[in-house]
Amino acid sequence: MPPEVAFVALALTALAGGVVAVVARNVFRAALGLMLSLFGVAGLFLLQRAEFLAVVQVLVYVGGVCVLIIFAVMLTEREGATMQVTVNRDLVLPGILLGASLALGTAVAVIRAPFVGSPPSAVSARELGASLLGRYLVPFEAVSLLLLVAAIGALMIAREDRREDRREDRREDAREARREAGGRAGE
Amino acid sequence: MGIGTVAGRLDRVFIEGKQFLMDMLSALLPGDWYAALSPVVSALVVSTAVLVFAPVSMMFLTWLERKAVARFQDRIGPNRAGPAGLLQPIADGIKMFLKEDIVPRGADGFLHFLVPALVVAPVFTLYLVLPFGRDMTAMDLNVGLLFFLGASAVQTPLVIAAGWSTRSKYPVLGSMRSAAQILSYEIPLVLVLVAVVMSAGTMSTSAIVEAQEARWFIATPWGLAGFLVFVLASTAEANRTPFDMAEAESELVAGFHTEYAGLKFAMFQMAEFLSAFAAGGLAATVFLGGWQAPPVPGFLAGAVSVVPSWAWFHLKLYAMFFVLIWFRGTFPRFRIDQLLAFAWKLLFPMSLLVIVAAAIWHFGLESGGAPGGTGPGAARELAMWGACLGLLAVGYLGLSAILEREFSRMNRPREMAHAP
Amino acid sequence: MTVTEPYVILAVFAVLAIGGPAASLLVARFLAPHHPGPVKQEPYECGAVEAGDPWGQFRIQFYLYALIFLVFDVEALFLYPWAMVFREAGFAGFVEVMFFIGLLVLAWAYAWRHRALEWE
Repeated sequence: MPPEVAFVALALTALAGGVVAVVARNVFRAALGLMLSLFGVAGLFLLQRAEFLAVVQVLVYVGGVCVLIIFAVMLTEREGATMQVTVNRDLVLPGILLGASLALGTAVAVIRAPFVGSPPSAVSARELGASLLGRYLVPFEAVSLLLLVAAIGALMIAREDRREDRREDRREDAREARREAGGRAGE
Repeated sequence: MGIGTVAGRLDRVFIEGKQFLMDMLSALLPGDWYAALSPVVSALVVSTAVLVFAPVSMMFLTWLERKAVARFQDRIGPNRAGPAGLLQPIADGIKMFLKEDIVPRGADGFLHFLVPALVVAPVFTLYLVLPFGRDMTAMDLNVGLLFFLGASAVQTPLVIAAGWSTRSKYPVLGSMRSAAQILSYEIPLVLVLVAVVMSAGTMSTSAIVEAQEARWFIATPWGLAGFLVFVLASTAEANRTPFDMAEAESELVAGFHTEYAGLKFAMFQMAEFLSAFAAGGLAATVFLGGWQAPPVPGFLAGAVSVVPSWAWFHLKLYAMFFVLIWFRGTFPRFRIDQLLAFAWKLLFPMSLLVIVAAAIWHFGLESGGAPGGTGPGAARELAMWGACLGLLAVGYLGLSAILEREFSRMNRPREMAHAP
Repeated sequence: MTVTEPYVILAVFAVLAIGGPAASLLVARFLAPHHPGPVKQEPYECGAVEAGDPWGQFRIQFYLYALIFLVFDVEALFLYPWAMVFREAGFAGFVEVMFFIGLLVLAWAYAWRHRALEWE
């Protein structure tokens, strides 16, 4: 099967999934559409012989980001709401115009760009590792810092500080210890 | 073992069978048709083999589980359908097709139909990257190990969709708890396999098996600990006892698959069984040497070499699944908060320690000696065992102490909070 | 061998793996009896009358678990390229990666202290 056919099939899958994700009224159908789209992208990565990236795409996006989005949507639904998406009629025409102009601009840019014609060579995870620890060491460590900051930031926003609870726990521990000591002394 | 010997032929019987089919096809078709179609036909043959192997194995496994759990509980198990109840799975299968499909009022019909079909597919793909025997990996990717993890990660949003689309309280609750459980146990799983990749130097499952020719990874300190973490994490990923809180009958009815009847329910069951089975297969592949024969002293070597590679793999595969059945017959289940604490506060840090231990092991054994030399002496190896096990023990004891204190504080009598 | 050839089996298999179960479900739809009724179609609550819409709000803890999972999942996947070149990277590489892991252990410790890992 020539790569062009595969490319068209995968690109259409990604697009179809995206359309479903945007258009579907029911949030879970939208989520399934998103999953389909992400699989299409993973397939495109495979076409570029970036196997590691394709698998990571599935693992992180489908297995992680999709779940996060689903949970976030479920969390923000008010009691009794039916998880349906509403359409704002006034924005439909501007939306179409904006989308069309973006698509046109992108198409022109892509057609005019001077792409190199040779097929891609596979980048193995081994090469990735070597460069992450060599040339791109600082970005590698910066990623860790970024993840740390993201985790702390998100937890700060999402969770009330339970430090008072911990102090309360420690007070209770002390009370318990005193009670036991008092009990033993009394025997 | 040479290609020409009986053992060699037996080892390659499936490979040669497929080659025979392809040769027949090339005889029937003209040259360039064959060139174009042969990848597809080859893929079809292998896919059919896997798609037949999986459900048939599952049928046998359900019988095995029911019989074994019955014996653990001092009863007999199914014995009416066929000799020793062997036809029971077939009876169950037929029953599943014939049961009425009840869809709850208000449920999303489209999703209710689609999700059971989608849930099984990623689980089937797990078997594509397992090396069933020498040269018998259906799809030998360079990133086979990660592919396995990715395919099992896909089930997370599907589980939530499954529960939610029934529009019924218990399934919604059960599906979210299941999803939280899958997510929590996935991190230790991914981390422990990093240690395996470190030692094998590759992510390809068949290459990992070959890297264990000298020594199975379970025979190393990090491998032993890693194996334990892996088994526990994959049991939890598959929602099996003792981690089956989300679907225990006394807890949430049947969790996210409560409102699915007939064949749809059978699909969920199949997905669960097959994913547990595949996880056992992966454990056998990365820790137990895959299709390799166990290292035996010289006088047994002849007998052992007769057994074909795929038979060894199946033996280990079933042994691993039997361990899971054993768990089911033996352990009480974890409470949901214990379950999640176990994942985040014990297994996760332990899996990091496994990675460090693997590094210590390799640095300790491979430095000092001349490259390609005679290898480290026994004393050095003992020292490395001590260092790695020491590190792991310190971590384990420290974490256990902290968790003990947390749980005893929690179990002190106090006003009960309400869990949804 | 063209770019697509190693993955032909994946494509073929995906079609079969989804199509097979879907086809079976269609078959079952015709084979199985179909008598819907008002009581049968009530959501199952152990015999009690359905109370409250289950599609309402739920706890934030689920979201936190997914969030923490995502952070550590990305971290764990960053370790795989290192694991591939672990030996060539030597002790220096190991130290670099330990720094990487160390920062994330900090995140984990923070989450533990602030009770983000607990169910209640």
